Amino acid sequence: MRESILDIVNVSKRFGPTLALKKVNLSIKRGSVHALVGKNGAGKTTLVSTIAGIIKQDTGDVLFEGQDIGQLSIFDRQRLGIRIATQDASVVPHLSVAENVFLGAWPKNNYGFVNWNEVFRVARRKLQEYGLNVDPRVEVKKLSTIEQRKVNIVRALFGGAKVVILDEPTTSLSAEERDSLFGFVTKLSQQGTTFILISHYLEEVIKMSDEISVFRDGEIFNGYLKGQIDEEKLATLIANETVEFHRRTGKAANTGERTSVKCNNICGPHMRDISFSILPGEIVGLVGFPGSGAREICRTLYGLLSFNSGNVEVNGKTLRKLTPTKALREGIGYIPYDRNAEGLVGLLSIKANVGFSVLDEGKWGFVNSTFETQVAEKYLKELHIKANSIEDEANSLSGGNQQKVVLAKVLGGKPKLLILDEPTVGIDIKSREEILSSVDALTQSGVSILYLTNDYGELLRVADRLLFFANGLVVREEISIGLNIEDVIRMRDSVRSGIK
Amino acid sequence: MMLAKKLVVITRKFKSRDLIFNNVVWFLLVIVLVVMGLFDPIFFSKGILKNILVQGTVLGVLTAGISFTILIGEIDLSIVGTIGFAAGLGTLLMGKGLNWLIAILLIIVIGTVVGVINGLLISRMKAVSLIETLAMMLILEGALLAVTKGRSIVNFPDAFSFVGQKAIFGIPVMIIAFLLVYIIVYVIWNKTVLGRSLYAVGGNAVSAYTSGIRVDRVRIVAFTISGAFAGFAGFLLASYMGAVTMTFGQDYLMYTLAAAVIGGVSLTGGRGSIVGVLGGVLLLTVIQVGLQVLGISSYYVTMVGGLMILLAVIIDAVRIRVQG
Repeated sequence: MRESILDIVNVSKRFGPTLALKKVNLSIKRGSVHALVGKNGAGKTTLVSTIAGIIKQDTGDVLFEGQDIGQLSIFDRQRLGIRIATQDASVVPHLSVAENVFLGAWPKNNYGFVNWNEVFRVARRKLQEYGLNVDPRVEVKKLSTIEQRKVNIVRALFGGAKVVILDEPTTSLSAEERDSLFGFVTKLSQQGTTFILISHYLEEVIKMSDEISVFRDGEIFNGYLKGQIDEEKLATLIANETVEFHRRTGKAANTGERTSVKCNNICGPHMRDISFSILPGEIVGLVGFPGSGAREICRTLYGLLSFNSGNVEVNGKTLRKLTPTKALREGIGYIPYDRNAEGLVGLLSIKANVGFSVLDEGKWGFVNSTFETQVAEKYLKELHIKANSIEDEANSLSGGNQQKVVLAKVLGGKPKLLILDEPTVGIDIKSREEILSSVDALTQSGVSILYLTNDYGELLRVADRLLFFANGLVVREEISIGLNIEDVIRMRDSVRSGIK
Repeated sequence: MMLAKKLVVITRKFKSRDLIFNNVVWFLLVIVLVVMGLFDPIFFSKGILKNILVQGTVLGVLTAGISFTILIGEIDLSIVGTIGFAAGLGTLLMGKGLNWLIAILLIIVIGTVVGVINGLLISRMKAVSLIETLAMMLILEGALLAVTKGRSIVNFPDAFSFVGQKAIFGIPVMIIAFLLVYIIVYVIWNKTVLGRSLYAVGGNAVSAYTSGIRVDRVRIVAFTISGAFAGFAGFLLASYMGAVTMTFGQDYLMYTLAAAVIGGVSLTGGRGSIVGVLGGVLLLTVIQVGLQVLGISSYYVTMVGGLMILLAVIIDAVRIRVQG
């Protein structure tokens, strides 16, 4: 048994009426990867914030290498070796990659000046070690979001961290990038760095953690060791009830070969020549790396990106230019990958958010309040949105429930084509399965679905057909029956290398 | 007994903290009235109420207008330029023989056109509203100076002065205009698609756009209404004062901002109610009228105005901290 590096003893924390942590006890062993899982709002982030010193516990102790650090500031704790790499990359966009990696700890020469040659040399080596193929001299703002996040993690590691907290490190990373990140984390943990990992991807949690602790309503259930637990059992523990993974009930009986939506030779940024069609009631999964055209076509179809040539046919009508307003009118709905930035108006109530889809139901420019209430109440029930009432502010809901509100908003507009862009990122498993089954049920009434996600397990459970994107083209098409995750990854990688 | 029970139920329903924060302006108003009344019982008379409402009308109409732009997270400083320029040009032409009714309409139309220009520059050209409307304010204030050459415009026909100086059934027409504006704004903010869109754009413009709201159009409409209201306020003030001076309406800027913010319209957008704005307008007016009535030297009025704005900012900051 390895010695423990960090001990949480009887820690409680209250936010207003809610007890966010209830007498939590946790011991984290040196050099281990310890995963914290649980629904949104279960207490994971509160606990790591307490460990990092962002917030202070009400009662209880935090011991680091036997020393009580409960009252130390976040900076003192960083000096001791506790680092947190949060969901949002906290990098300085105008500085170079190397400067970010060294931020605040620049090596100085004999005269007290920053030794820039050293900075770039060491940064280059560190980045290569990590498998992050970026120039240390380039400004961080020029990197993709994914690369920025990696830089952020490298920075935490470089700052002399003994314990690194990774809060949802792989959100919006591709499977390949996820693997490279895990490889790195595993290697470092063998060298003695301790990791605390928060993640919603149970698959990755099981693969890479030495120990797993489950949070539920502020209570912790720990001691699940590697190899003792599988994904479905873990999901059940998190939800405190049996979670059945949803599987596609079967394609709706197809009424002839009439197409629902057709893209014809669409060209634009990251899209060279994209053509495909979708049948009514069909779920088409999109697979591709960032920049391959998969996400771009989703956003183009909804009018968020413009295209230079080609056209979109919706139920026989040809469209050459789209805006979200126009797309909605033609029956195209879109669930964005970032619900806070693009999906919700957090200050408004659930009712008002859902009501966006039915604003044109009123007369003389007035909101049809009765109808709006009906629609909101209906989806509150149908989608199992957990809230006191439809008057609750959207901000007050958990991530999963927020995503359901976004879904309700889109469904309220009665779309014929629904575009889902990472609809289950960062939400708990129960909500995820509820959303998947709602989407599946929709297709029975003839709604077509475009489904973009990096979670191929999820994709295979619901999609009828997969389209593989690379370099702005649809390069391969597969019926999804009989495929497994490895098949999808292999196909995706082969089409990409084939192009290069 | 029954009433007492009911009250208990009602106060339990709301969290008392939220109750105070959402209505802080009305609490302050009552406190200020009581304090002033202790010094001079005239504050509990009916006549003073009339006086306060009449004196608050111009500030009220201006603040209702600027609140449209603050609600969407922008700001319209040009209103104090518009109020003078529109009224100045309208009354000048009226002095040269323009019909009084057309003059009134012209004043409002000028305000509206300024609003449209602001809206177009801010939404289509992505100009920063703070600077764009500051420039517009300076242009219009300068234009008023150029048009009047520093002289005051006086001698308006009776019909023009009717709204500002006469009463119907004992109620001054100013008060009717004041209340009418607030009823209209209340309906727009709470019952219409435009109102919902204003809150949405102020709360999260990207989400609003993705939800199918034509964000640019909403911005243009907000600035247009702000401009139109400023024009209308220009007419009201000219009609009330019976003259347009070269610095006409310029000292309203800080009070109108303060009234909106004290009334709970968040400067970051997306949050606010018109009932709160009304409270803010009344509070500032009561203080101003109070200082006059109590005979406090006009040398102190500006300082007190500054203190009120400081108070407004502190309340706004505390509200955001407490309510999250």
